[in-house]
Amino acid sequence: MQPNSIYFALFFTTSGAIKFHRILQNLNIVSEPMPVPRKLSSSCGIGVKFSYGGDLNLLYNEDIEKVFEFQGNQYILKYEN
Amino acid sequence: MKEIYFDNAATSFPKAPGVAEAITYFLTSVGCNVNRGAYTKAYQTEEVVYETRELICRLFHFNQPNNIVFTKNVTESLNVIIKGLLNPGDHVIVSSMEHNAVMRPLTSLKTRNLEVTILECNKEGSLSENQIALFQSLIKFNTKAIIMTAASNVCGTILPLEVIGRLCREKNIFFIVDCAQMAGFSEMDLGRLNIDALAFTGHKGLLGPQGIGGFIVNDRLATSIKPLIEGGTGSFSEHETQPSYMPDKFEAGTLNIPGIYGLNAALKYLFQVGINSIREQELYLLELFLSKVLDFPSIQVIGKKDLMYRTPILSLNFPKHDNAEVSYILYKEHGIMTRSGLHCAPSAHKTLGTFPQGTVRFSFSHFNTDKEVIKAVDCIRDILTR
Repeated sequence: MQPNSIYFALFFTTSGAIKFHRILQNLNIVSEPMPVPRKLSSSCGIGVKFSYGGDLNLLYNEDIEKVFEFQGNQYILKYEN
Repeated sequence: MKEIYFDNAATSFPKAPGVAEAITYFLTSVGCNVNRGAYTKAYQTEEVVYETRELICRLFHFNQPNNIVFTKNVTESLNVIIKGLLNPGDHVIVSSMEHNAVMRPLTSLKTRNLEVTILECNKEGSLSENQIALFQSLIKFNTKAIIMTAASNVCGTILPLEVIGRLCREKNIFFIVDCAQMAGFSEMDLGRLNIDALAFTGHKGLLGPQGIGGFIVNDRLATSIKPLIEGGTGSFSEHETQPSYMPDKFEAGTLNIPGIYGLNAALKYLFQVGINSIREQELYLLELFLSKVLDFPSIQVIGKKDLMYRTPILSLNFPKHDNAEVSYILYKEHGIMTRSGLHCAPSAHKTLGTFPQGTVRFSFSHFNTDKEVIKAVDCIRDILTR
């Protein structure tokens, strides 16, 4: 397991964001729904910020639009659906 | 005079314990919209909405919570499905036991060149093997769907969904089920029954409040239905076209969130008590009532005379009396609430041979008691002597 990184996931629908948040909670992954930062465009206004050190591929689902990694002051695109 | 409520097929009463409290809690302590604001209370509200989708999934053995669409009732759900799916030139088959929630939208679409065939049911409100065989011969090149009630709102008969669903899948036509009278009485496995869309309401057997219902739709059918209502969803706000993602595609505008909180509490109650226990109690009351009224030679029991494949609804015809007057006396003199008339299902009454006089419908809840049923029997006996 690598050290945790901070990620921000964007979704097509709010329902998708809530579903993802619930999945992360069940996996004991620290996460929080929050408004999508203005610099990231999104289909829905609510994203999920989470701290994770594992393989991101294990978390992707069809509800996710994009996943960014937060490094310094920059968002690095890690996944796009 | 203590009132007795035997009109649970119209809407259940009392509601499940906790329903009123959940609605009050939302209205007095939460109050947030969903899919709009980005603050903790809004997320908490969204969690409850999503959890309610999950509870509906559990009830119907379905695994896509985002494909649970909330509407105000089963009628709206059926309108969304019917008007969004069927086009001029399409053909649709319905059973003759359908409620006007199905018949009226279809009649409206007939003026726009929709072809509708009615599959006649038998005097028990069900389909015999011959009638099921006939169903296959009714399928044409342009048959897009069959729409069928899970259980009659007039006589309680449960229709053979599994057989019809299998035939629909073999013929590659959509199977749409009106679950108004079945939800909460029996769990249903959408996959096993090959149901593509199931319309439900929250205020009958699910024991929730009025004004909340919905439909479940699989991906195969969801992509074929155009939304009836379009507007704000909180998603894709930069576009002025309706999003195609579920459930937003069909949930424009603010949801009935107090209703969803109430339905959430009701569903948890159903799972806590157990639907099987509820069904056993309701069928016990039905059997008690049925066994007594069958002893009255001047009363006609409409539909099935046994407990197999039925919900706790019993329709009676009083040939020597006016059915409306019987219902009126039951309430006025004895406080017993029933529903007389045609129950918004003229085709079903024609099938059962009770059109246009209708019936007196008794519909039980597991909250009813033996004592209430016996009192109703005694009151009926009294009315028959007049």
